[in-house]
Amino acid sequence: MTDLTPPEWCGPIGTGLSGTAYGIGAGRSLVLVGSPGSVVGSRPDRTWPWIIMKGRARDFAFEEELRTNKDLAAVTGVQALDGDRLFTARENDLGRVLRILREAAGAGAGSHPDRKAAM
Amino acid sequence: MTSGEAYPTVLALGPWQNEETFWQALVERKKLPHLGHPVGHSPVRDRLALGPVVFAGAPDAAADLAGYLAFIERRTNEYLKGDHLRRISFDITRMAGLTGRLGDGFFAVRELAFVLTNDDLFRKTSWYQDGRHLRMARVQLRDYLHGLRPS
Repeated sequence: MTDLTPPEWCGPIGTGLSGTAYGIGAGRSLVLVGSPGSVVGSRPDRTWPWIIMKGRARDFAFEEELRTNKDLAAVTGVQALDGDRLFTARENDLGRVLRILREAAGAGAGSHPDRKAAM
Repeated sequence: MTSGEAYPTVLALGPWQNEETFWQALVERKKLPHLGHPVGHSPVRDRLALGPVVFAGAPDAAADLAGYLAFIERRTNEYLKGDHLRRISFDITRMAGLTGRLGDGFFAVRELAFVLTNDDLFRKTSWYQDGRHLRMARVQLRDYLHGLRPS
């Protein structure tokens, strides 16, 4: 069973698309993308596409930073979609994904652990 | 619904991030139907939501997201080309900054492209930017709208 805190918000993010958002800090949210009526916690084996949003805008820069995060790579996948690269995660792994994202967001832009170690 | 007779004759399109210029100005104040689903946040928006009818029978997004999105796009285009539709109100506020990727105007960008490539739809469409009705000559307007599309 997925053990997640209640989402910050659930709502439409585009035609036929619904988002379920979990705060990760620094004004950013992990947003699980599904069809309207998708419920987190109902299908443990489900794979969720997810994006990072800051306010109402997708945070492409932070997503690019995350692509070099080795901890995150261990529990996520990537789905290509019309030139886009969406992160994916199994529902059972969402708690771990959130912890990693909160650490990364807390570290702040431009302070990825690898870069810190090199300083 | 298989017959277009019961469909409304008007529709609002635009980026869903535009809370004031799309949701409030076109959907709530002008009472224009939209392609969303009822989510329980606003009685007016819920009442005007066409999503459950237009996208009935959609495949499972969890099993095949690309197939699901292709279905939504196909049904949207079919709906826009339906004989029932007399007027589209399209909010293009902040459109130029959208990439057309998921969560960043994925369908708004595609809907704009579709309307621009279909003369009949283009004639039916009124364009709004920053809450104002755009009024300019057709050729000039088309050029302007083409310039809003992501490269």
